[in-house]
Amino acid sequence: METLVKPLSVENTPQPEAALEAKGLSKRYRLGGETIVALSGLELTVPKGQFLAVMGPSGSGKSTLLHLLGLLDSADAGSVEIAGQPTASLSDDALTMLRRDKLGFVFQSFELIPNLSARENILLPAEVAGRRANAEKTLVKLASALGIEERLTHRPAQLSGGQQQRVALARALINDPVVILADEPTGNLDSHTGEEVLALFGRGVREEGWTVVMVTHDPKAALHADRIVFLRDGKLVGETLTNGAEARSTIERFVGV
Amino acid sequence: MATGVVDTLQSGLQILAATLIAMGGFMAYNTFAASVLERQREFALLRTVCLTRRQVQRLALLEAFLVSLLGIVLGLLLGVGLSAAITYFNAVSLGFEFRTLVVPLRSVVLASLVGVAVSLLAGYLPARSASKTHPLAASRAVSDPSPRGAPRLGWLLLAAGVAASVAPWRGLTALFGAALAMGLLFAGFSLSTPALLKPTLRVLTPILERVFGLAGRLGSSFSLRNATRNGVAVGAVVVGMGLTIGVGAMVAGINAAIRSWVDTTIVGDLFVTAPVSFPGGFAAEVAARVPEVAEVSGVGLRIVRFIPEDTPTGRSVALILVDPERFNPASGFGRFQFIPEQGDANDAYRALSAGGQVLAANTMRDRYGVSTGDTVTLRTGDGYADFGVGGVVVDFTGGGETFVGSLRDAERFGGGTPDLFVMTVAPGADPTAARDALVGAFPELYLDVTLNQNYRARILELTQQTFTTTNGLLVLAIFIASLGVANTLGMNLSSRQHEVAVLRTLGLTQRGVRRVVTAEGIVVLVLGTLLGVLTGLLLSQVITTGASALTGYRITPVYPWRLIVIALVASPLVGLLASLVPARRAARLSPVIALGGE
Repeated sequence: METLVKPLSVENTPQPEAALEAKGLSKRYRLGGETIVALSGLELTVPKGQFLAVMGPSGSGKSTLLHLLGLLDSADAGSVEIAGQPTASLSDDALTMLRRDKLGFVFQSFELIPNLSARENILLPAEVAGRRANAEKTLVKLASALGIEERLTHRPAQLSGGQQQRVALARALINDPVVILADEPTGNLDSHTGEEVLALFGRGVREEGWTVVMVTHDPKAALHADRIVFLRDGKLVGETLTNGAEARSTIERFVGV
Repeated sequence: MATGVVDTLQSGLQILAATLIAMGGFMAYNTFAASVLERQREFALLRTVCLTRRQVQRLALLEAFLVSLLGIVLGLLLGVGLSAAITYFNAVSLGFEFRTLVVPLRSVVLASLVGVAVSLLAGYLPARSASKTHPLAASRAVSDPSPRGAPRLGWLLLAAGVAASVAPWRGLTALFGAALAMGLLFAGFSLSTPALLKPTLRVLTPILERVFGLAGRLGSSFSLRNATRNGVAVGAVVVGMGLTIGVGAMVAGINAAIRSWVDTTIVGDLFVTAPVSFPGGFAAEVAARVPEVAEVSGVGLRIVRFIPEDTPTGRSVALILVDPERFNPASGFGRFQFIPEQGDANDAYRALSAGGQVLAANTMRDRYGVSTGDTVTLRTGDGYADFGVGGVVVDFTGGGETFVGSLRDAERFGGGTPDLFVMTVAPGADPTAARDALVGAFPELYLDVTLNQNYRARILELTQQTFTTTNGLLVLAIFIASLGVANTLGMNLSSRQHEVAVLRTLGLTQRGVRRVVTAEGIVVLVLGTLLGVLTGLLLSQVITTGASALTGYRITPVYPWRLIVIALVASPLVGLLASLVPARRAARLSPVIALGGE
């Protein structure tokens, strides 16, 4: 009986486990009396251990997608599953717990709390979850891997942009999340520092098995990912793997670089 | 008694009104400053597009003016509504009909002018900083500027305020001193609070963390983020609290003085009046007919014309004529309270027995310089006559403008029998039984007999009632201060929306966010209350001196320790209440803002 209801492809070629799954996501906004369709019936699966870049022009629905994947906003239709767990009917508190335990966020302008030291900033999500004791060990490991051991007692204002983004990355990783959601993580960095941060993401994915979803409009940044999806008018309009020869031409086709 | 108390009340109300206006001004300043900061980009855009500095400044001042007009209209409506309610309530409780309400036009115009002036003053600095917005700020992030050199100026003002509150002000200058000290302390604390916040947090943070967890620590450290603005909020609490404690100490001082006077001088078990004149020889009749009564002593009450040295037209003052034997230190039951070095019980007995002499109430000494050994001019049945002053005593009768003379001089002041008799009961006799026996023995006189405790209670109740209004206004001051804190927390939130959203994104629950805001509110209120108590203790002396000068009563402040303890214990709770609305708003913020969404 069971084999009959399962799709054949699943039976024959086992898919890697999905870290994040969007099924038929739709979202509309009212803006000045007009209804704007931000996402319409979007389908997306991010397997564990993948570095995915989301590209698209402004207004294509990138931000809305990130809000919905990050459980910060609710969809009008469709659902988001994190490591196989549906989230559609959860309360605000339950969603908050999921964000805290399963998701890591990296922002364009770092968003460190200015009156806390780098160390306190990194430990914040663990403390909110009441896991500070365990997190101390993780902190030591992360700080040395990200090269910020010497800066832990500093306030954000005393750190360079690159250092702030490393601290933010450590904060995103402290609770060992299923997925890291990054919103233009190099947008406020010079190109050299940006490259360094992206290399950190790449190494993390290859060596530590992180899963990363990164929204970016920078083709160079996107090329650090394993896979790029293109968004236009709230729909996925194309995708490419970056290890293929056609990656650059695909980007050119969709983004017009 | 009434006029003196009303004067005190009036002066208390005036101090209160001035302080409330100052508080309103500072809150207006805080709000204008925050709104200018919030719209820095908007102002920069205006500067970029078309407006000169002067025009931007005028624009900001115009806004302050419009806000003040709105405030005046609302304030007037609220004022008329409140006074109608109070008058109606008084009318009902006193049992007369409520018909008219007089709106004092002069006060309304004056208050409106003051309101506009204070608003413009409060709007001036923010308007200036708006006009200084650099056109390029349109593309820069909004920052919270902390005024340079503010702490040092704060310490200076604070030192001046402390000096003003402990300076030996004399007479009516003390009123000016009280206002000056209050203004300086308020401004000083507002400016130096940012520096005081750090040590306060060292103590408060562990407690808040214990109660609220991580959110407590975050909120506590957040209070440093808008230290300048929180400083003004702390200042508002300081004024509310300082005023309450300072005026409270004065009121308690007056109450204590009256109580001690009542305790010392209202001696005797029965106080007897009659709707008809007492017959001559009433005292002897009582002794013969009512064995329960031991001593009987008459009291005559007169209003006489007194000619002070510098007031040739004279003043009408109370003259209380007493039986000298009642104040015989060896055998009488009466007692006086003497002002130091202004006579004693023996002098008083000698003066009263001799006749032609009086004792002066201390108010006469403070207002007209009457001292022991002086001569005062009073109008008698035979024209003006001089009386020697045998001592200066505490007496709150007739608003304190009182002389005490001997019943032996009764003939010189219109004659007649005493108006009141004070009696003691025989050892072992029950005062209530004695009263019944007395009333029964003289049915033709329709005697009205009050027992000692009832008589005292009636006097104390009268004074207590008058001060209830003051207490209500003080509660109002604290309430307004709490509103100021709520307003400030709301403004802090506006400038921190983004951060709150980031915390929500990182996994802080709505409850956690509420606690962050509440912890900040508690920090502001606890620090404000602590400094307010200090300010109140500092101010109580100068306020009391001012009130003494105004009323002529000799008052020393009585520190309302119970009130202080209640205030300190309740302050975290008030902080919690003040942060209810901003905390709810913060919790409802969508975490989407963190990722640049709306």
